[in-house]
Amino acid sequence: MAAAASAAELSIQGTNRSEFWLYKADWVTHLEDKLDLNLGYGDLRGGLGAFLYEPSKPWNADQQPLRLLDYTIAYSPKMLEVLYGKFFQTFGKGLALRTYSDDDFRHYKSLNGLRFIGRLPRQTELVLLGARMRDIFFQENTYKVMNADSVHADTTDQVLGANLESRPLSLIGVGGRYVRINRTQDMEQYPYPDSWPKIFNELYGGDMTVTAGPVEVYGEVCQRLGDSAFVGGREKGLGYYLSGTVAVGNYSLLGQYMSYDKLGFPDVVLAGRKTYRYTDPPTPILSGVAINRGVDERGFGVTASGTPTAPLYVEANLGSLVAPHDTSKGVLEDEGKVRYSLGTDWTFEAKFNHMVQKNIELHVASRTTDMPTVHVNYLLGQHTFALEADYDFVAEDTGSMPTPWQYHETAIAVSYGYGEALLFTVGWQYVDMKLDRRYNGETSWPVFETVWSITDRNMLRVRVGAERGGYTCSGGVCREEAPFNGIKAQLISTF
Amino acid sequence: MKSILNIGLVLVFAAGVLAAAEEQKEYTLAQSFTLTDVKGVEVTLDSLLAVGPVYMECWDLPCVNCIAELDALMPVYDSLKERGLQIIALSVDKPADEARVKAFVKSKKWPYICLLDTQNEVKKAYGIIIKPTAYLINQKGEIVYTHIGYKKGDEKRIKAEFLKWLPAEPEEPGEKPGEENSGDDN
Repeated sequence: MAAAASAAELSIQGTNRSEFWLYKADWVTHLEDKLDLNLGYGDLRGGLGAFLYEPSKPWNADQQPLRLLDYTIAYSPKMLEVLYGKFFQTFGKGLALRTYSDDDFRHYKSLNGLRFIGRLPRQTELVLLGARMRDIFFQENTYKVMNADSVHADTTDQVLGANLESRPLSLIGVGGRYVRINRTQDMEQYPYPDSWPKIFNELYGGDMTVTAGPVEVYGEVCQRLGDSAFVGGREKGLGYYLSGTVAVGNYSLLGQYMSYDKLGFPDVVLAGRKTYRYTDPPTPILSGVAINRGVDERGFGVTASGTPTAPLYVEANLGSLVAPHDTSKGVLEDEGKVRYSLGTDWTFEAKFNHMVQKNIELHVASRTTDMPTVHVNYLLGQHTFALEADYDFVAEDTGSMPTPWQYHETAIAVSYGYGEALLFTVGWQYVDMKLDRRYNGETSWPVFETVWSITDRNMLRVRVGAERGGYTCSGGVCREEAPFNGIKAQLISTF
Repeated sequence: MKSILNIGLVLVFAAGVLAAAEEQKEYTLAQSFTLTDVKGVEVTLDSLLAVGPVYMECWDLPCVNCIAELDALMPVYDSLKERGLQIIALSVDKPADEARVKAFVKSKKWPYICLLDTQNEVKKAYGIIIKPTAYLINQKGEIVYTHIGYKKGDEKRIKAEFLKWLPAEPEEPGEKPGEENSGDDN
């Protein structure tokens, strides 16, 4: 081991993202820095993460600075890994456990504790973990640790988990898992209706993959046993997910079916508290919209895609989600996409998305959108030109309106790039109706952005103008993004 | 007690960084990894580097620019694969989207090594936070070029970087040395 250590070399990699926002209206500022440093020395690995969020004062209960320091230490030879510190882990497709880092959506759901991974032949991997979760989410233009206190109803309870996956035959893969969430809060500390979902929950299940030539079928089932509000018995939840893919030549067809019933904790709505879950099961909706993420959802999705000729790609999607125990809620989405490259200089992409949402957003009984989108890219020597435009036909009903709102949302962006280093974009978002309930009654949001690749490892992005904001979803998690008007500067450095 | 432990760990890491800085070479070493590709086969970075340099691009299904870059690199790859170039399309989509990723890759007919980083271990190890981010790793395991973002035309500059790290083309009989790459940058 000493000989191996002397032959090893130290590697250091990392990324730093710094952001500065200045709000035009009241000169409020937002300063943010996220540093991730990774060290490797032979079989030893280390990580250091610093996260700094500094809104300008005055601070209030909803807007507080956030200063976090995380570390990871791991011993990771070929056949095993022992890790202590911060990590992310998903079991299967997320029906039992999913934690993740989403930089685009600014959602960081991490585990902090101990993890052991053992690797055996036949792609066999055993994961054992014991940790606590931290959920950092960015919404309403501020970062919050969602499980910092009981008001926000996520939890810092302990998670224990085990996951075993293997491929005993080349055509067959199997997996099994167990997750237990232990309450750490004293039951007498809070009123009974609030504390009972947290007493302890167990999720266990398995999956199987069968591959035969162009066909692959996957199935996963997960059962949850929680605590019942009544004496004796356990509250039960059940979820399953099925997918099948057929790929022939340049074409593929994918079908998905899912049914989730109380995989998440039951929906205890009390004094603003929300459902709590460590699970994040698949959704068939491309736009990321979900109903209640594993508590009461049933749906299916179909995707057909292909490359009839080399420069042409086509794709069609259909997705549907309903809440079997609350038929007033549901999402239906269908989308078609075509992408064509004309030589090496032109690229065209056209997309059409139709979506119907019922009782997904708060105070919105139904919302129907039809959105065509066009992208065009053109290259002329050192010069790059791009156009992106979409036009959204929206019909919205709160349920108490004599006639639904019908309006149109437009977004257009024109970009010019020179060489490798520079890109300029002028954009404009517009809505043709003054909506008091959305966008603070504003209707026009112009913006100018420049991206400068200072070196191949450093990128500076400066954006001046306004952003519409609105209801935004990613992977089933949605938030209301507040409109923005001011300056945003972002520096990303990779080293 | 927790504060003292945190401070101590920070000092240990800082010492490690300073020590590394003193002996830091020009290029960063790429962390080795083992992942499964879309066909279910295990692939290690070390085994690929034994064949030739590797260009690894991080992408996911919603990233339009990532897919555009991988599409644009196809003719570049076709012209250089015989010289040992390998391209990894590293999918960082979540596990729930694995079936969609496989269907998409199969219908795209990308000639690349398409790996699934569903646990985002490689994404985290390489500190990738923006997509696309791509690394060119030479056969010594050093990251010799980083490309962040993509706009049309970047593939020409990326190809120029590839040519710096690939072995020269075999000489044709009667050809003088130094003539093989002339006029081949488009």
